[in-house]
Amino acid sequence: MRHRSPNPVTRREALRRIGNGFGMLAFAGMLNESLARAGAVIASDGSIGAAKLDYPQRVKRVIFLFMNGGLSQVDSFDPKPMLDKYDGQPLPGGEIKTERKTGALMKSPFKFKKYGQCGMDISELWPHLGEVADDICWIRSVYTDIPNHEPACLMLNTGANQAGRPSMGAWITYGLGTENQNLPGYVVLCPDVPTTVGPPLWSNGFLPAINQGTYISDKVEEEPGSSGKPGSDKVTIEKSFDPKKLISFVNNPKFSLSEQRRELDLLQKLEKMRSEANGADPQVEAVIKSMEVAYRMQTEAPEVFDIRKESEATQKLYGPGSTARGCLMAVRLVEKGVRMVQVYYAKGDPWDAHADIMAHRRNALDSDRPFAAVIKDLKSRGLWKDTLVLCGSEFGRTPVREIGGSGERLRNGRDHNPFGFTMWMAGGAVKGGTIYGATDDFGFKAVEKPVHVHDIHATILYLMGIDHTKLTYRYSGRDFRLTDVEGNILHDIVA
Amino acid sequence: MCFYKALPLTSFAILLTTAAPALRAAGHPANTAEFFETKVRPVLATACYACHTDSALGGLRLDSAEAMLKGGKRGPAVVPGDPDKSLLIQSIRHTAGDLKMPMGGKLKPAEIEDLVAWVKAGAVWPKTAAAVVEADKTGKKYTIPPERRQFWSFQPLQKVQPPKVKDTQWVKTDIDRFILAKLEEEGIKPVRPASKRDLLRRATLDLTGLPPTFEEIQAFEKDTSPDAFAKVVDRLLASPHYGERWGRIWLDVARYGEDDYRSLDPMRRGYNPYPNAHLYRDWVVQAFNDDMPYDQFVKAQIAGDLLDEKIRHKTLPATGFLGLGPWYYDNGAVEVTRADERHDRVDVITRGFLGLTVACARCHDHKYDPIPTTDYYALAGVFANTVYHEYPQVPKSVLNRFKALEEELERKQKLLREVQNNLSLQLSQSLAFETAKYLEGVWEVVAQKKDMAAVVEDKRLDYELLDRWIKYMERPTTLYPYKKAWQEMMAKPGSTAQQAKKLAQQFQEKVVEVMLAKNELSEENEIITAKSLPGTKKKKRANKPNEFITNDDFCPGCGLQLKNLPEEEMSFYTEIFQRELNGEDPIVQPGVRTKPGVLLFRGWGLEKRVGAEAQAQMAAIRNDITATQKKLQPYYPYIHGVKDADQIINLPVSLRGDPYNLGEEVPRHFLSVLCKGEPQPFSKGSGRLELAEAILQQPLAMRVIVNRIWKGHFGTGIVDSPSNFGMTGERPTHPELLEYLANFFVNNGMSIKKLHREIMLSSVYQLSTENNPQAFEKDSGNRLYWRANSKRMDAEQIRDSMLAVSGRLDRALGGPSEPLTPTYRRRTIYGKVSRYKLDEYLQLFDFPSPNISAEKRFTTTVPLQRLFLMNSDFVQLQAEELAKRVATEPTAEARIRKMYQIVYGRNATENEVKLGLEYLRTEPMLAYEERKKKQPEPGGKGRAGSGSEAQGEKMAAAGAKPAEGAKPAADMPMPMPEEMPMPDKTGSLNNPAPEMAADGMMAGVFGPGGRGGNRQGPAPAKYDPTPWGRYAKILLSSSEFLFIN
Repeated sequence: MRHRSPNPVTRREALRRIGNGFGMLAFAGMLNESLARAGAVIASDGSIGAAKLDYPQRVKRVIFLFMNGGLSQVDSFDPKPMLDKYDGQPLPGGEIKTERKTGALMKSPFKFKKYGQCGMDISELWPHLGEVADDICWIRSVYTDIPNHEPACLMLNTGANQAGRPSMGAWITYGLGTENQNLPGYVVLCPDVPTTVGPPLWSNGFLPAINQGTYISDKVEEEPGSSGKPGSDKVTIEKSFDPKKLISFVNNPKFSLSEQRRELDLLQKLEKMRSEANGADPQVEAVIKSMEVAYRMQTEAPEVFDIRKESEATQKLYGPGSTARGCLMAVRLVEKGVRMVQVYYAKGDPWDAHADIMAHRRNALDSDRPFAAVIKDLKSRGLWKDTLVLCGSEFGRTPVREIGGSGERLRNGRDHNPFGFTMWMAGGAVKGGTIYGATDDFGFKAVEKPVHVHDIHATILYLMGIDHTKLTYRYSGRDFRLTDVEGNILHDIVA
Repeated sequence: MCFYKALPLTSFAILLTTAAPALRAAGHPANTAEFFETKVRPVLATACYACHTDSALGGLRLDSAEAMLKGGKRGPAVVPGDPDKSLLIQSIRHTAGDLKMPMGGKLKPAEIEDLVAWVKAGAVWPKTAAAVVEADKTGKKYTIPPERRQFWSFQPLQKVQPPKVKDTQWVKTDIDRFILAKLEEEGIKPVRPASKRDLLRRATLDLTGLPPTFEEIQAFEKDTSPDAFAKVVDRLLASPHYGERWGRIWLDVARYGEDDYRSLDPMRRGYNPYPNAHLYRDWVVQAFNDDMPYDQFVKAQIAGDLLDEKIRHKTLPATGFLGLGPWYYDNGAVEVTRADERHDRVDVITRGFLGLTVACARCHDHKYDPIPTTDYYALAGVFANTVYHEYPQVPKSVLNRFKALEEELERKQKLLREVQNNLSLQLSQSLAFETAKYLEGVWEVVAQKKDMAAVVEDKRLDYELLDRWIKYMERPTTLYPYKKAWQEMMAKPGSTAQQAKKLAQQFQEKVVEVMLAKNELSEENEIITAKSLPGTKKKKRANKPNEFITNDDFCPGCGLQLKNLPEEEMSFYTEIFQRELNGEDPIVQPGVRTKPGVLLFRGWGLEKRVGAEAQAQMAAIRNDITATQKKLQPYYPYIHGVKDADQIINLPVSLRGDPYNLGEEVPRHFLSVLCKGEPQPFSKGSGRLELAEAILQQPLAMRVIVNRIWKGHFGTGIVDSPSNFGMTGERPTHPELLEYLANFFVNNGMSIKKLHREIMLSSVYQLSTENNPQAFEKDSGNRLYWRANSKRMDAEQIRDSMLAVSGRLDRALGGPSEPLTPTYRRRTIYGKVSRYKLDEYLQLFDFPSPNISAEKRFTTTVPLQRLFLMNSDFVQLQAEELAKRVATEPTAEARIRKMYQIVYGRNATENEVKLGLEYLRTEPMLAYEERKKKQPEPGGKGRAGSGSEAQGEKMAAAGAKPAEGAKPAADMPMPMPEEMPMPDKTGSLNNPAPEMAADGMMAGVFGPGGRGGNRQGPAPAKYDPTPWGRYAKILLSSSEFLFIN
């Protein structure tokens, strides 16, 4: 009796096993392969056709720089002369409904300057980003639904205000798989588990577990005598830095590689012996394949996180600190074929400047240089063309000062503002030097070409070759998607 | 378009309910009204109208001739007279590419022929026939067309006769007749029966989640009596581990989690664990073990608090089904989050018990099933009246004692805080009057370069305070001008003591002035606060989900607008009395430590400055608090359940799902489509008990549960969308079998154990997993059950099986969950299940997200799983333990053979033994040499590095004796168990008292810093891998172990 079944049937069977509800793209996620690389899709009759995305794929990978807590747009990328003029007076149109009580308009304490051919106004917080202003597509009219960190973070990461949905990275890896099977397809970097939301932000939700973000700490441990202060040129990598310890189970110091090689060899001999006796089982074939991949992962994965491999010049380009380390790792990861990397600033809501907007200075000092370095470095590594950099916060901040809440502690902070804020994208696929949309005269509400977070998601998927209305997953009797029932592609910013 | 692609199984016969055959008048020409009404319209109505009337999916309506001709996005649906060119016909023939209609199945050949004939005859739509379904744009009442009620899953249970089959030899039970009839129809022969070993392993893992022992397998192989397998099934069903296995299967559906992600937790702990969640989990396990009739099982979970008082103590834990569901906090959008919570309840109940996706009707009428939005809000209303409630599991007297202690503790803690704050304030305010004295000291040290210690001595200053003043006065600031004069003086050389004294005096006056102004403002603010809050006492912060309604519950008084000093003075006051603003870069993030203001002392710094008496007072209060805290340990157990709200309300419809845009109010009632006539409003409290009873009246509920049990055994369901029996779900592959099983279930007292038995004693359950190319060609997915599906063990089975064969499994039942650390020896069901952050191991092996009811699990094969097998301490620990189990065997060969028996329940083949011996002969030597090479100076560095390497060398040396240069014989003695490092003993066993004070919902009240879930990481597992252990790991990582045949 012939037991061996040809491979394609195996894949078809694999698809069947997971039952209804999988679109064609599920195939890639299932086998943890890039759809384009796998060169195949499953049609509804189970046959395998040539890979076909909905649109030309302009972007292969995404770096998402997340300033958790809420960057103030009027103090960074969206200056408003009216704020200077009417400083201390009430916002026309009455009191606004944000999270807390707010008072009069407050001008920005930071000076703005025009940068680049595009003449983008950027505050003194972001001089390095100013240098690359023409490489960036600035979207000044983003808005979201709820003025609280948690729902807004979830919206920006998962397209829904409550926890439980798959994150953008999960959807993307579900749809496209990953280019490098020896690495996780979706990596999340932060010194400590970021924000009060934490893991639900990179959850796979109801998608297969493989699509979950792999959280890795990019923490810079301060070493005694280290001069790695923000703004300085000196980059210190602590002696205890060990890239092998970053991913769970990727390494166990108790086992050497050659021992593991011998273990695998024996295991494969035993498997072969058994399958010859009982007939090949496609699932077992998959298992054997994944053993080899896992074995290779043990060396490749730590390698890519090992920023010590970078030249001093590159390290200096990013500067010191955790954000810089995260940004550098992110570029190394996408270079090796990781589909999406997200870099969070720090744990908690560090950009949440309720009490004093001056707190932005320190955060920007940590972020400005590394963000600009990502852009410069992607170019020098030849990744610029098909990598997308997305940067922003879950919402912006009010043009008025905050006065409610804890009363006496407040001086000149700003409250949460979901109605209008700035995000930016960069990369060969989007038009650098574009300034898209606008908020009102006070920088409070998006009025010109408003862009909902769903639209950002739709556009990112579009750039990756996916129609956001077609990347669906049948769950709970419904076809879920990243953009829910919304989402418009921002064709104007596509290069 | 994904809808169409998503539905496989087109080649299988599908049960489509059609209009009653009696209506089918034969013999009418295809262009007559009679033909249309009897042959065409009924098919359109039952198969198409769900999506192609009001929903107009794909832009297409099929309820009028005009609409058909106009067509949808792909063009006209019919070309009258030309069936082959008509998209309608192509799609029902499944020849239109990916456009296959109707969704989820194919029409019967006769029905297709009728439609073809009708189109061929000109697609005549009789003038007399109005559109069946009128667009309901006026918001008038949703009526369910009678055809929609004809959908297969809504029908009463039908009595079915097991069909006749040819191969009666094969048939063991009636189930087999249904299966075989279908196979014979398709011309497929079932494969041979499974070997006795495979069968016993399958049955044992299936019913208990644990592998059988070699002895059990041998006993079964020897037992040739006809009821040998029946005895096995009965034995396994009687095992207490049965409940652990099948209870867990139900917990997937129940989206069981032990915490939830609360967006803004009032206690600021990030998320909230449920310390007693296990009471519900243990109830479920026990219910399965007791074979609780399914109706009781359902009623208890939906309305366990509303059942007969006499049995209520038994049913209350079941209310965890609702009580443990997610509760969200969210100031800013309270309406939305309350609605989201109700949504969870509607979803888990309707999909879990009825296989209906009612949750889809939150924003609009269900697109596919006859479920109007009003039905959704009729059910959501039930949960609007169902609030979170904790049921203490201790007598009233104990409870009162705890409550009293808690209040006492709270008062004492408040007292301590007040005493400390007062002392700190008094100290700082009195120090304010010494400002000038200190500034003179500053001048002497900085300008005169005098020795600081000498100045302190001379002027009787506080060393640390002087140091603070020095640093403070040096630090530039733009926030206020008051330091300017001083700093200018210090910048120039040659300042005089006179000058310094004058400026110091001025500065002190400013400090005192601002301080006094602030004191007055604080008094004013106290009055503002007192006036704004009801009563005179500050409101307590809300702590439980049902208490949290407004922003003020979340943060009492936070909405107040309090008075403040002018900005410059406020900054100045802050830096002197509160905290350092760090020049231009104030870091004011929560959690980040800020430097104290110049005069602020806390903690030890405060205590040593306030004198012995105050110190003793504080110590006394602290001791007292500690004593009270001790009295609260262990905390009493309580159930996280629900109860009816005091005020019963009906919910209005949220238009388009928007809770701010409300429509008509809907009485609470059951789903319209499942009611005969108008649904009657629920009248008893929230209506949960009525809801449970209505569910249990439904044949659908019976079909759903028997299908879940079937799927649990076979891997695929008869309906393989087990929580969706609606239009978009699958149609049953064996509709009659499903009816048979449902009838069997109802007639046998809704006993799940009897159903297991009935299923397992069939021939189809006992098939082997062998392949048959002919059958595979016809049915590669094995949906007709011509063989058994080979399944990878799930997360629980893998971990539990490894513990079982290593001999380390702690088989105790029930109790609080613990983290799944490498040394945790209990079954996986007792591991913590976090919605916030799911355990890494569980996640890796496809455990479903506990945020939402899961109908099935996936099986993924990813490299990270292999990494776990290769590198995790857990697997190696079990492997080392397994090696110890065989260590007493006399020879290496005997050990290998024994290991095969333990791991696989069979004897090793000669080749397998040979391979094993080869590996074990060379491995110790090679490993030793490698370690040798890695260690540059033997004995030089001592315990540097990981330490394990040195240890490993010792072990290798002990085991293999390679130093003697002799051949490391395969027959070498195994290290004795005592020499093997023992894993830490952490089995928490039967500790019924829940550890809750630290991380319960009530946690914050016990003291500051009570952050739940942030326990210390597990202690690293202590062991050293041995060659035998690694060999055991290889066996444990093999497919033969990880798969169930």
